[in-house]
Amino acid sequence: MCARRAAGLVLAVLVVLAGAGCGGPASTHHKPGTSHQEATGTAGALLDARDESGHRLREVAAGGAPRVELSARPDSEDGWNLHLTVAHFRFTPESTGGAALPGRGHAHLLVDGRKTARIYGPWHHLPATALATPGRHTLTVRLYADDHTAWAVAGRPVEATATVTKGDGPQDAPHDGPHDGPHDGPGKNGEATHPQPPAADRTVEITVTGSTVEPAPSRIEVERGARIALRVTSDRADTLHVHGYDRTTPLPAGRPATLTFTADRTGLFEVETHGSGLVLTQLVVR
Amino acid sequence: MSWTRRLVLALSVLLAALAGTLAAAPLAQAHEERPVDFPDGSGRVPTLRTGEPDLLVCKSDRADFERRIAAFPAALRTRNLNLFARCLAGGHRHIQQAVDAVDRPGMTIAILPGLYEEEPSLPPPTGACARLKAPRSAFGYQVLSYAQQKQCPHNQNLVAILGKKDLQIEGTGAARTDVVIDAKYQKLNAIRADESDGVYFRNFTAQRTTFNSLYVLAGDGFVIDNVLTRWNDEYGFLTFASDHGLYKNCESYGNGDSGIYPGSASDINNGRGYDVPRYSIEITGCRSHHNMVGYSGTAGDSVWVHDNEFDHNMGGASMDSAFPGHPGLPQNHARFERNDIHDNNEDYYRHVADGTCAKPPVERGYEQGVVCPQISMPPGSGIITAGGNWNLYENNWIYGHKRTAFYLNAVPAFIRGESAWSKQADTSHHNRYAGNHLGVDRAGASRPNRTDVWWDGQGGGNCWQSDTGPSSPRTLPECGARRGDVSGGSDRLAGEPVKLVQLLVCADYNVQERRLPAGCDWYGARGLARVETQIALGTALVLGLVGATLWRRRLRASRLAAVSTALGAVGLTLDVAGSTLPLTAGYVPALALLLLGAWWTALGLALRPARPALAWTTLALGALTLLDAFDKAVLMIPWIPLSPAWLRGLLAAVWVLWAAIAAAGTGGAAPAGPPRGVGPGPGAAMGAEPGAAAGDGPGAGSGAEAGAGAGRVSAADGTAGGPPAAGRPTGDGPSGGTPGSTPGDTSGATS
Repeated sequence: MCARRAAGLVLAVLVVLAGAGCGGPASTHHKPGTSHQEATGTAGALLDARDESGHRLREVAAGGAPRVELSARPDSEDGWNLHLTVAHFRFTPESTGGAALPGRGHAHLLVDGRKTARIYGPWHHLPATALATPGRHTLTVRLYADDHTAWAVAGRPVEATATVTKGDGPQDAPHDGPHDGPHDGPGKNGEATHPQPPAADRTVEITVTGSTVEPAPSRIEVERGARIALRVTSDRADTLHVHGYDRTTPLPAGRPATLTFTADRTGLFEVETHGSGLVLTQLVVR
Repeated sequence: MSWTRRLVLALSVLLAALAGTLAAAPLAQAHEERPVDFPDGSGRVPTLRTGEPDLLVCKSDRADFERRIAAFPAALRTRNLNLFARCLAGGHRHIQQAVDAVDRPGMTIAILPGLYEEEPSLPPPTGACARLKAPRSAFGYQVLSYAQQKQCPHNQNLVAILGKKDLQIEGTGAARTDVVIDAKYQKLNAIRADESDGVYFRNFTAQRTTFNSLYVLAGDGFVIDNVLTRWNDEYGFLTFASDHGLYKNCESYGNGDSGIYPGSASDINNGRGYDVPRYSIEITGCRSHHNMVGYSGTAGDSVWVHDNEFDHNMGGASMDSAFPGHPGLPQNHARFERNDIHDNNEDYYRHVADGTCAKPPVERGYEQGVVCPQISMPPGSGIITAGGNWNLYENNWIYGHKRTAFYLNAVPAFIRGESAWSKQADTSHHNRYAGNHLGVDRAGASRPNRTDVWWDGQGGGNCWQSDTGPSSPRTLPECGARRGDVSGGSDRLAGEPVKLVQLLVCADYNVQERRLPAGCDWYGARGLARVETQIALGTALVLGLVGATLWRRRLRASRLAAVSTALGAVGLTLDVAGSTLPLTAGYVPALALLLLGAWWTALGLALRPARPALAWTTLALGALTLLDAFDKAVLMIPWIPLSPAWLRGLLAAVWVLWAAIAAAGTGGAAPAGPPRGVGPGPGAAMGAEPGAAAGDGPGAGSGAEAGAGAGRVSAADGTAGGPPAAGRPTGDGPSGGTPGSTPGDTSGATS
C-alpha cells in the first residue's frame, strides 16, 4: 500500500523491505529489539517468622534454593578474610531495596548472633576489633533477598557458620587456624549448613628451627579425600604453602599455626615455607 | 518536477534508501500502540501542590517503615510518622487502590516510603480480560484500545492511571529511592498515565519492566519531577503524543533504548523557522546514563532540552525520523542547550553477541549493567540526528567521545512509511550546531572527541561552528552569528555514496537473531573488516591494476605518464589509508583525491595524442576528482544536487572498462605516437555509458562492447556533449582491439 505511488521497481522493493507503517496503529517504539517476555511466578512465600532484626523469612522450595558456605581465613595483618561460597544465588547490591527476585540478594554477617555487616560479594574482611572479647566467636552469614527478607528453606534461614578465636595479645594473633569451609558439603536440598570444622583424619606436627625441620622431611602417604591438618611451629614468621593445592597460611613466630584441608586430588605435593624456602614434607595422595 | 530532477531524486532516494539509517528490515514489528493523535494543546504544565494529600498509600509493617525513615531529618520523619498513622487508619496498601479512589480532578496521592510491588495487579488476565478482541503485536501482547485499557487496566500495566485529570502522585521519602515501584519484569509498563492531562509525578523510583517504567500517553500537561527509572527493555520515561510536558531533576539508567524518550512530542512548530512561540516539552536537570542512548526523540518535535547530563551511554542523545507510526514526522525543532554530553562510549552490543540478550529480560542482568541495545546506532557518539530539521544544538559541552560529537544523516521518507516523491529528501535541513564546547569539560580540561562531526553530506541549511575539530567531510558549512546564517552551505539530495553504503551495511542489525553486521565499525569492525576500507581497497586494486597496465603497455615511453602513474599509486594507497578510522576525519582522504586527480589529469594529457577520446574521459575524471577533493577539503560546492563523488564514481566505472580495453588491446604500445585519433566519441562515453557501466561489473564482453561500441552508441544516440576535441575523424588507434566492430567510421558524425 505504501509503495502504491512509488515509481520504480527497486524503490518499491525497498519500501516493502522497510516494512513501512502506513496507517495502522501508532508505534511508540523502534524496532522489535529483544524479546519482551514478561516474567511470571513468585519468589517464594513470606513467613510470619522474622529474624532477630525483624526481617521476615521468605520460604522457597528446597530444590534450587540459595545455599551458602563460609570459610574464615586469618589475614596476615589483621583479623580474618571471610569467603562466602554461594550456589543458586548471586549478589545484587545494585538492586537492594527492590523486590525479591529468586536467587538474588545479599548476605548479613552476624557475630555471635548479632548483625554486624551487610555483605555484597563473596569476600569480606572482618577486623579483629570486630570481636569484642578474646576467645571463640561464631560467625554466621545468612542470605537475604533484595527486599531484606531472609531466604529460608523449611522455615530455617539459609545460612552458614564458622568459628574463629581471637587471641588476647595486643594484635590479634592466635586463632584456631583457617577453616576452608564445610567439606561435608552443603546441607541436603539446600538446607542451611552449619559447618563445624570437621576433625582432621590426620594431623602432622612439624617444627621449624632455623633451617632445621623436625621431624626430618619425608613422605607422608594419605588416602584421597582425607582431611589433613598441618600444624607447624616456626621460630620465625613465615608462610606455609602446600603446592598443588595452593594453600597457604601465615606462620607467626614461635606459635603453632594449623592449615587444614581435604586432600581431594591425587599426586605428590610439596609442603614448604615460603620465606625460608624449606621443604617440610611431601604429601603423597593416593 | 523536471524529469532530470526526478531522475536525480530517484537515484538519490534509492541510494539514501540503501542507507536504511537506523531502520532495518523488521520495522513492521515495532512496538505498537493504539492510533493516537496529538492533544489539542489547550492544556498547561501542571504546578506542584504542596498541601496535604488527599489519599495515602503505605505498607502496614510498622517495623519496616520505621527502619526506612530512621535516618530522615527530624521534621520529615515526624511528618512521615503522622502520615503513616493516618494511612494505617484510612489509607491504601497499593497505589492502584488509591488511583482508583480518585474521584475528581486535582487530587493528590502521597506514597509513603516502602517497596510497592502492587501484588493485586500482577496476576495474568483472566476471564473477559484474557479474551479481549484486539490485534496482537509481534511479541504477542495486544494493541488495546483506550476502552480496553479501561476495562482491563492490568493486562499490561502495574499501575494504570486512565483519564484522571490533574492528579499528583508523590513519594514522601527523603530521596526518590525511598519509594520503589517494582514491576519485576512482569508487566510492560510500571505506571501508565493515559489521557490523564495535568498529571504530576514526584519523588519516587519505578523499575524493571519489559517496556517502560513511566509511560505518559496522549497527555496535555504532565510533570516528571525527581523521579528515577531504571532497568527496562526499552525506556525509562516514555511520554508519547503529549504536550505541555516538563521533565526535571530526573534520572534514568539501564534501558535498552533510551532513558528519556519524548517520542512524538506535540508537533506545534511544524512549518516555522528557528523562532518558535513555545516548546511542547521541556527537559531539564535530568541525568540519563548507561543506556543505549540517554535521550531518544523519534519525532521528538519541539522539545527543549537544557542543562541535563547524558553520559556513559552508547550515544548521548539521538533524534530521528527513521521509524514509522510516530505522529509528527519528520522530526523537527528540538533545541539542546547547556547540556553536558560526554563519554558516551559504552559498547553494549557485546551482550547481544554473547547471547545474554537472548534470555528473558528477568535473566539478562540489567541490574548488573547489562543493556540490550534495541536498534542499530553508532556507539561513541554525542548527539545523533538521523533525519531531523530545524534542530538547534547550542552551547552544550560535548567531550570524550570515541567516535564523534555530532552525527548527522538524512532519512528518506519511505523509511517512515511515506511514499510521496516530494518528501523523500525532506530531512536533514537547517540543523544548527553552534557555540558548543567541543572536546572540553565544564572545568575547561581537554577531553577531545575523536572527531567532532560525521555528516553524510545530505540536506540544506545545516551548519557547524567554526572551531569544529576533525570532521568527515573535512570541510563543513559554517554557522554565522545569527540563526539561519550559513556560509559555504550546500543542498544535496543524497549523501556521500560510501557513507550510504556504510549506513546500509550497519543497518542490518537484528538483536533477536544476534546479527551484528560484520563490515560495520559500530559493532567493532576495524581495519580491513570495515566496509569503507574494503571498498577503498577493492577500488584501489582495480584502478591500480588498470592504471599500471595502461602505463606499461601503452605509455611507457611517456615520462609524464610514468610520473602520474606513480602519483596515482600513492593516491590509491592514501585513499585506502584515509578510509580507516584514525584518518578518515583528517585531510588524508582529500589528499588522496588530489593525487588521484593529478594522476588522471596527467594521464589524460599523456593519452591525448594516441587516444583522444579516452584521454578526454580521463581528463574529465581527473577534473571531477580534483573537484571532489576541493569539495571535501576546502568548500562544499553549493547548488549541485549530488556531490562530485557520485559522478566521479560513475565515470570511474566507465574509465576502468575503457582503460582496461585500451590497455589490453593487441595493437602493441603506441607511445606518444602521432595523433591518430580514435573512433569513439568521448561525448558518447560520458553521456551514454554511465547507465550501462554503473550496473555491470567489469567483464570482458561488456567491456569490449562498451569501449569499442561507444562510437556506435553515440552515433545512434546522437549525444554530442563531448569535450571539444571529440571525434577527430581518423581511424582507430590500435586496430583489431575491438572484435566485431569497425569503429571510427561513424563516430565522426557525432560532432
